[in-house]
Amino acid sequence: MDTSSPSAFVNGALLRRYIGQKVRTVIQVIGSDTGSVVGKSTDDLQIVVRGPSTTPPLTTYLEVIGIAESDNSIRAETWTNFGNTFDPQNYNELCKLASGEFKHLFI
Amino acid sequence: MYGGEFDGNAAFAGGGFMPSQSTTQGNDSSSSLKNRDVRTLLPLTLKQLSSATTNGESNFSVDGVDINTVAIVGRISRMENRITQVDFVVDDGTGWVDCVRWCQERQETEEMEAVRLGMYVRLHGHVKSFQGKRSVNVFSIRPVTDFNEIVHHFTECMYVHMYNTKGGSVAQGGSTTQATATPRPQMPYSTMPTSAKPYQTGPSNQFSNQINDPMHGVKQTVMNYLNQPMHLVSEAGVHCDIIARDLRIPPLQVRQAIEQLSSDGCVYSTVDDTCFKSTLNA
Repeated sequence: MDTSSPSAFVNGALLRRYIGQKVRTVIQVIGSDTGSVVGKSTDDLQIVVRGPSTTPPLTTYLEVIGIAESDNSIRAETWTNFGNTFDPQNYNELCKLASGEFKHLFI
Repeated sequence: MYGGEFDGNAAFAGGGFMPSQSTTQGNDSSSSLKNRDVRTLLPLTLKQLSSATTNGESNFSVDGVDINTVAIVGRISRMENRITQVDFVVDDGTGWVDCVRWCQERQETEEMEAVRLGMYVRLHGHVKSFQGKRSVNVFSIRPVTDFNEIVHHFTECMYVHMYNTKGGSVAQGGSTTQATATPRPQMPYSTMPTSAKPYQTGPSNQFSNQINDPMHGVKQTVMNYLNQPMHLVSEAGVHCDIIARDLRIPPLQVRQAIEQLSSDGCVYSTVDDTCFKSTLNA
């Protein structure tokens, strides 16, 4: 059991707090290119995800876990399709609580 | 209504056999209330699990609640199938933990076959500790299909944490007779598991709707008051005006709370319509 490398739940606004650290977020996919995906965060900010060169078919929502490179880009280690029926508002609130009042339960 | 004068304590006093159900109220919720061995199912993040306090090899507690079973939602980051057991690692973003699932029966093997490396899963299991290392002995696991479940799980972890750390303060009220009340709620929050094996979480479920129940705080205060040892042993119970006076709650509210508690099987009237006792036997 190990908790030394957690990934923080972030939305667009929280990403800048964790630059250089492992983060996780869910984005709504807007477009994809070879090696990168452009999406909208749960708080309506644009995020660019750079990942493996072959992009598998993507659903509307995509969870990305990786290192935050800047306040609007992530270098992905893992990504998971979260389907088309995900609720971004709930996730947004979770990010705020997990980085605020309940941070000690997460990081 | 309570009928019959059978008092288990009196009948079996003097040592020997003490039946586990000694009132004539065959109500499910009252028998699980009496069961001191409360089984909990706690949704936890792995960070919470790793910071659980322990007093011995297998006694863990989080926020003052003993851990019996845990619910974890995370990704499988490593997996090794060894036929009779599957060793895997679950990572939920706050940490990772070694898990083992014993597969003796077909149903267990089939359950594990549905789970693959990289998948998000929900699992229920017991926490084990060996040489200081904690792991989870999984007895129920299934893939997550709707990813809102992940958000729900973490939200629930936060809710349960708040409930177990602050929820009890609702019952503290303003009463000097509550000297014996413990700082945490008597019935820790626990959820009904979504897997096949149901747990006895009767009393907790009644209060799990507290957000929608405006009487929840009053009911809990009245229950804590009636569950005090001196009221549990008193045969006549307590008059509801006395309850109202001691707890400094308006008599009408006390009446309302008692009516709801009575229909839930937590209290019963004794001498007449105005005196009540908790169904919990000391």
